[in-house]
Amino acid sequence: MAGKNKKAERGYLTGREIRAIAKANAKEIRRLEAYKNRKADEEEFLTEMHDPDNILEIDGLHTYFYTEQGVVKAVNGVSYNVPKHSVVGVVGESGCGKSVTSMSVMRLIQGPTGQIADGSIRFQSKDFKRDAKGNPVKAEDGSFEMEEKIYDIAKMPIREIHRLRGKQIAMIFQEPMTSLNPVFTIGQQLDEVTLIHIPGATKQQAKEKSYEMLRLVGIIPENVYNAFPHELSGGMRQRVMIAMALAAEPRLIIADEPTTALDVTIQAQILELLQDIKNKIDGSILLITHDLGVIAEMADYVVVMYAGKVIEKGTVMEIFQDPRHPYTIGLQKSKPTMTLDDGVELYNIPGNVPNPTNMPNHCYFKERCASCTACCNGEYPEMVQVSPTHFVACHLYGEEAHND
Amino acid sequence: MEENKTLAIEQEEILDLPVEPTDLPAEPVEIVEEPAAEAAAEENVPLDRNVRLMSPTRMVMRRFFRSRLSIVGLIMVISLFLFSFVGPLFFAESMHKETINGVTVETYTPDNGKWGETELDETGRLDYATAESTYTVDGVTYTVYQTTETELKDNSYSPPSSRHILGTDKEGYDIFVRLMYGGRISLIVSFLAVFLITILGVVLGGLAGYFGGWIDNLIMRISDILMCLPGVPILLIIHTLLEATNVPKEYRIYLMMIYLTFISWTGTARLVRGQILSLREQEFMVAAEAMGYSTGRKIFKHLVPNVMPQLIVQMTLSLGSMILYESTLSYLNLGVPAPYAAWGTMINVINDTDVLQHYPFIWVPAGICIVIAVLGFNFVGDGLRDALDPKARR
Amino acid sequence: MFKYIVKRLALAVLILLGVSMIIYFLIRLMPVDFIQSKIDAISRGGATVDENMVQAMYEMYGLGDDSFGGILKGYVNWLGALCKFDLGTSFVYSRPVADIIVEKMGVSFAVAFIATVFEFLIAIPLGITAATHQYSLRDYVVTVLVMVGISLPSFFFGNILKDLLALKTGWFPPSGLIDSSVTNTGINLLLDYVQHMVIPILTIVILSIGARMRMTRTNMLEVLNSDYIRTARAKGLKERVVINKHAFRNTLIPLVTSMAGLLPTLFSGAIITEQVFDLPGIGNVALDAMNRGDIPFIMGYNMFLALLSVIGVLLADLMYAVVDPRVKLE
Repeated sequence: MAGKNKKAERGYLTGREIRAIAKANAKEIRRLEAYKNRKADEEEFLTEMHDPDNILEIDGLHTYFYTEQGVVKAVNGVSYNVPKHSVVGVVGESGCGKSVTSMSVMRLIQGPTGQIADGSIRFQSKDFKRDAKGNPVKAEDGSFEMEEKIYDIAKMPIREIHRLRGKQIAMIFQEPMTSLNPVFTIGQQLDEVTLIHIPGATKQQAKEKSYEMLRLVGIIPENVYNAFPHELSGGMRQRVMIAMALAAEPRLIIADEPTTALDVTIQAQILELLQDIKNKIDGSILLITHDLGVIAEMADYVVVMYAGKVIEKGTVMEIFQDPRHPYTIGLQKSKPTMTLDDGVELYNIPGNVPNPTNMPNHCYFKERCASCTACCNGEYPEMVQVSPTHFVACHLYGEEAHND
Repeated sequence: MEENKTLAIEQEEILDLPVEPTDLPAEPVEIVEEPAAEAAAEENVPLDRNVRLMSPTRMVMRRFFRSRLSIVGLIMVISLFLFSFVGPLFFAESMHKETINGVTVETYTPDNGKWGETELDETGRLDYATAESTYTVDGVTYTVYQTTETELKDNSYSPPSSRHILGTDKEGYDIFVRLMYGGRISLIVSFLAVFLITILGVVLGGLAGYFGGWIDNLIMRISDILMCLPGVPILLIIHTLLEATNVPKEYRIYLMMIYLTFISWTGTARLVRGQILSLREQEFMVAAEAMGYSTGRKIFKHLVPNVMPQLIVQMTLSLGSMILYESTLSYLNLGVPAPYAAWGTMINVINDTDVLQHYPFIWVPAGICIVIAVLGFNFVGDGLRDALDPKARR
Repeated sequence: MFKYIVKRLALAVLILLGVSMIIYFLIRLMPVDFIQSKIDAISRGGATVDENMVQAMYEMYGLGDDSFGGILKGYVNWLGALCKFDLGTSFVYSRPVADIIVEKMGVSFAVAFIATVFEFLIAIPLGITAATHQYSLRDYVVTVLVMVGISLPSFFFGNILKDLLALKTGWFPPSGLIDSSVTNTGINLLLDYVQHMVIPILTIVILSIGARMRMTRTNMLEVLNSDYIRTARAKGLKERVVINKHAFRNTLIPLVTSMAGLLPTLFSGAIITEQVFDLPGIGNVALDAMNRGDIPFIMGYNMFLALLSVIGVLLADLMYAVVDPRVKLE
């Protein structure tokens, strides 16, 4: 007994707890892996959009990591939408689940540990009409017929997902230095996108397309087409990544901290490029960043995430001019500005980001919050609508607050 | 953009999975900065500290013992150790010493089924041959029976029995007991070799990695040369060389293994050097430099502990390969000389096709012992590697 | 590129010098009367050891003169002969060592080459499936097989196969390379060779497959966890293409490099396996020569092995530059 108590005091898991975790994890992983690897008819994962003006609707998404120390709820019931032809910015500290959300959309969560446990991700795809064998159907005038379908990405078997990746949704990753295959030339890697996504594309067409894409991102194609990734700088590689993401003209681009690993001067160029391209291809961008400046410049809508949950969302004006959640307010205040008076210390939010595990059912921000009230000890706050487009999850604005 | 476009649907209710006990603590995936040490009493603990973790040692132990193969390996190794070092205590009592009138007399009491390593079973068997011949003398037929009694001195090739658990070999040695003594040689020799290899490797690799420059160059070129030396053929030369000297035969295997360490430290040295080179670039070493720590403190307090995990793994794995080496040498008759046993020597008898075919009980057990030893060390080493690898998460 | 090769070659020569020095001084450590006794034993064993041959050897190695100058002179002498591919004359065979090595190399090479081909053909796919199905039953089985393969001593396992497949069942001949009771020609002779080589090759393949499989698995796992594989998946490539094209091409780098390192094993002969199956390969011949104290052969064989290792290392370096575009030879 004494030993057990001592262990508990030191905060370590006991053997019994570990075994219980391992057993529960194994069972859950097996179930989810089987679901992921199943074969299914298309009808099973076809769905309807709640609002046809959206291109992506994330609805109650739960993405968990089944680690040996327990289940980490990295994304714990996240819902937000990406309307057509818009830029949605997702902000939050490291580890708040913003990247995991985007990885879930691409179904790139590393299994078997990471799994989408629940929720739906509805996506409006526009692809070539295909016959039973999967070959594109040609219309009478020789061009390929297009058709719109709405998939629930979370329910798609993993073997089907390749029809969305690259062609419908493309992703620009955080790590340009390591995200290109070191043994293939830039040309080979770029051509590949065209070759797999455009039916009947020849090598020559693919090369032309790649040249066009490289020009679009501001690179002289002749210089890099035959180069290997290690011969390029980080900024160049990120441009290549963007070119690769755009080559199949996707409807949605997910940019996961596209500028974090780059120099400030390059950052501006890349952002400008993204803005340009968005206008050119008329798609939507899901921009994930922890940089509020980037959001302010690029985004139409903003989603603020904290500890695996969305705490506030609205238009960029609403979030920046009228932030409601104490965390969002804190974020704004902690941003250094030129107008800050001398001697006034820059605000910082006290405390740390909580671990997204073992979460009690009350507001996660409670301890770091300056405007904490009695009802914050109660249940996790519901989303409250502040304006038609502005939502916040805080007791300060809930009905309970008015009743007090 | 149109203003009235709704951005969100209501926040979903938190969905608890049925299998997941809600009070189970867990480790964060992305926020690992905070190694929470406080107890996780639900309400009073700040949220960023509400996670209970395992101590690093416990985590390694946990990971190690979770793998069934590691446990199997550990059992194999421990039982072989007990078999080789404790086993003979129960079997070597047959040698009974008695002092009569100041003269020590050794008497064997073989009937209790206990045997020593170099002890022959000389009880022998009596072999009878009967010849029959008839003579006819004067019409009367006499039949003469003639019996020849042959005493076979040694009890050779006797099959497993209660007297000899695994039977005896050609000379009449008890195989079971000799397996124990053979195990001692293999285990001692390989531990000795690995110990020396590690010391040499750590010192030379450490010197090369820490000081760099011409020291590094020299040590690395020497290791290049040693890596190009053939293994077994050179050992054959060494053996011939030892033959020319007056080193007692029993000790030759030790000298050969010591020689083996002289050509085998290169792997460990390269490992240590590589680790130190990469560690030297890291922030905590820069910090140690900035704090003005002494060279000794830097090496032993900061660098060595970081190399330890890989070193332990490497040591365990090379124990297995050293046992293989030793038994190969013994098999080639370069190991301990005749009356003494080594696993390799005990297999050596299969060069006689007759033994190979008809007396498997003589050589198969020794082979199984080698496999168990090497497999055991490999399992343990592999388990340790997985357990100590911080990246290997399951 | 050119400069790099020259530099590597210079280093290779340096290594060879070092190795030759060690081998030479090991031999020189032997007392002369011991060498003489060995030679006597060889001549008693039936081989005619020509007095001139012994004299030639004494001269070649500078034996007998134990002063520093004498040893140095002997070493330089021997080195000079080595450069002319003169490895001396074997006492046991009464023929130049170089000739014997070249003659016996064929069998060893045939066995080792076929075994290596099978090893790669089996180990690589198995290693890849184990990696792509990490923690599955398949992975578990492969891991255990790998371990068992690594842990089996060749002399033990070879003999078990010999007992089971040759002596007990009579499916294959137990030893040797040809059936001496019949005179075979043409295709029959070839078939006879093949029959005799089956068990030795099987032994080598089973024993070496484990390490190769583990290497493939480890590399594949590392590659599969890298960012560029995630990129490849994000592009919309099918999983099959991701693994067989993007991941495999990267796994190939260490595999191809290790292939160059196999050079010594290809030509030097598997000493133990050849001994067990009594194959007239170079390993078996060398073992016999060394047991009998045939000093010229021992020295020649060891230098031959060292040369192969050095070339192997050199080739591995060059191959690395060929398969990995990131490596530039400079």
